[in-house]
Amino acid sequence: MVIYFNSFRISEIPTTLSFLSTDLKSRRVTHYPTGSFHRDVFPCSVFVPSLFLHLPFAGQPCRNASRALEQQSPPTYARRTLTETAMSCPFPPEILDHIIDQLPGELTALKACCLVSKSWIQRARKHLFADLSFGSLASDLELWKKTFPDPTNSPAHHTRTLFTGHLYLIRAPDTIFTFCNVERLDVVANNPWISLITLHGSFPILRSLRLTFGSHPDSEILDFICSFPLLENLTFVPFGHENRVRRWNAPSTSPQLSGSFEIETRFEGARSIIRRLLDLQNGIHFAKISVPWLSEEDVRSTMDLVSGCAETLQSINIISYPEGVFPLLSPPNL
Amino acid sequence: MCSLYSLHPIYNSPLLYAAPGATGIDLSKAVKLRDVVFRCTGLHAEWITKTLNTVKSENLHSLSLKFPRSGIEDPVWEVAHREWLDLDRLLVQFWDSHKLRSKVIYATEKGEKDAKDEVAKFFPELTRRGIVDVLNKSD
Repeated sequence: MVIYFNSFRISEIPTTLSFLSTDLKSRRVTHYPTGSFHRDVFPCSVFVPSLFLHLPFAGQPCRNASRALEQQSPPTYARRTLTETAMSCPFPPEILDHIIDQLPGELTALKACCLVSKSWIQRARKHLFADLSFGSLASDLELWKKTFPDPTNSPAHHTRTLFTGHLYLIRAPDTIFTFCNVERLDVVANNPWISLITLHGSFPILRSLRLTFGSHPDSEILDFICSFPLLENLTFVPFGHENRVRRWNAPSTSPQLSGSFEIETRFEGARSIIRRLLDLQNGIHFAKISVPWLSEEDVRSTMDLVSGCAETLQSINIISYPEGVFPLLSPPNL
Repeated sequence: MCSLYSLHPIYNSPLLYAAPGATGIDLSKAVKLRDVVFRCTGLHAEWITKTLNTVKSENLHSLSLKFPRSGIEDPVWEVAHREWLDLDRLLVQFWDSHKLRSKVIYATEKGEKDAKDEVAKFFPELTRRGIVDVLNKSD
């Protein structure tokens, strides 16, 4: 069966199908099982209702859609044949998955997909929970735990990008371990009374870390960074003053640190950490460095970074501010 | 005692405050360097020239300069004019030796022609030879 979604006329798709992204109208989905019909044989007005009869729909809107489309086209032998074939041959799940895969970021559509059929839920959840954000309120976490009381059955394993606006997540270790496939983590560590230790190693395949920090001891920040062996990209958003490392025992293993390194605000508060990272057993191997300059010390820190990554550095981005002119916390996007 | 310069509103502009790293940094060891992006928020360009002078990488692929803002008034601009002319000459050398076109990203609400006219003040030789790409911020 060959399905050309771009061959459907928009006017033929009733509003009941709004849960499908408009993107679908311009995309092409191709599948080649041992089917017996082809769009060239059956016009679109016949094919669309048949398509929906193939799907294991449970929702009334979809039945309505099929009925509405059937009423739009005259009964033909071809359509009857298709309908009979549909009843005996379930629609290939690969096509369902492919359709849902066209909807990343379309939260409304994905939520609607979850309500269509049980067989749609897993695939829709894969996209629905891929990018998850816990705000600064403890109630966010409580809501999550209330919605998914059984950690083994929660959609947390679908999450690839996780933002936690506060460290409340740390207080729920039984929840943290369910986010085992997180690759990008964005942490705001603004409460020095909540230790980062609980998060050590919680994300075994973490590759990118964006860390906003201000008052945690540098040694704790360093231990946190070193607890992710596959870490490649590191972004610092330091606020507050430097909290120098007095004694820190570097671990025997260190992260890869082979992607990008970026400081979004100021070097101040991160210089000591950078110096320690340079002393790691495996060193640093960043390919891309992006830093702001506000003082001569920043320039020296950049030189240290460049020396440490001399063999791997491919891209450098420097923003120079005139001395005494301090940027806002978030630098402009230019 | 403060100088007369510091009392003049033009010479007291934050854009003219000394940029950190006026001596630039040494990129000679970064032999795989491909992309360089420098963003100025002030008017001084000396640090860019000195840093680029240290680049030894044969792989240099792109060189982008982002300008601070549009509509820089002439009296302020003239203070740092010589530094930009030095940079202009260096970028021409980069073209002659590496065939590397420079890219200038310029934040302006004016039309494209006005933007290019302003960039031409900073890089007269690059503009004359047509070896600079001027992009608006939104590009």
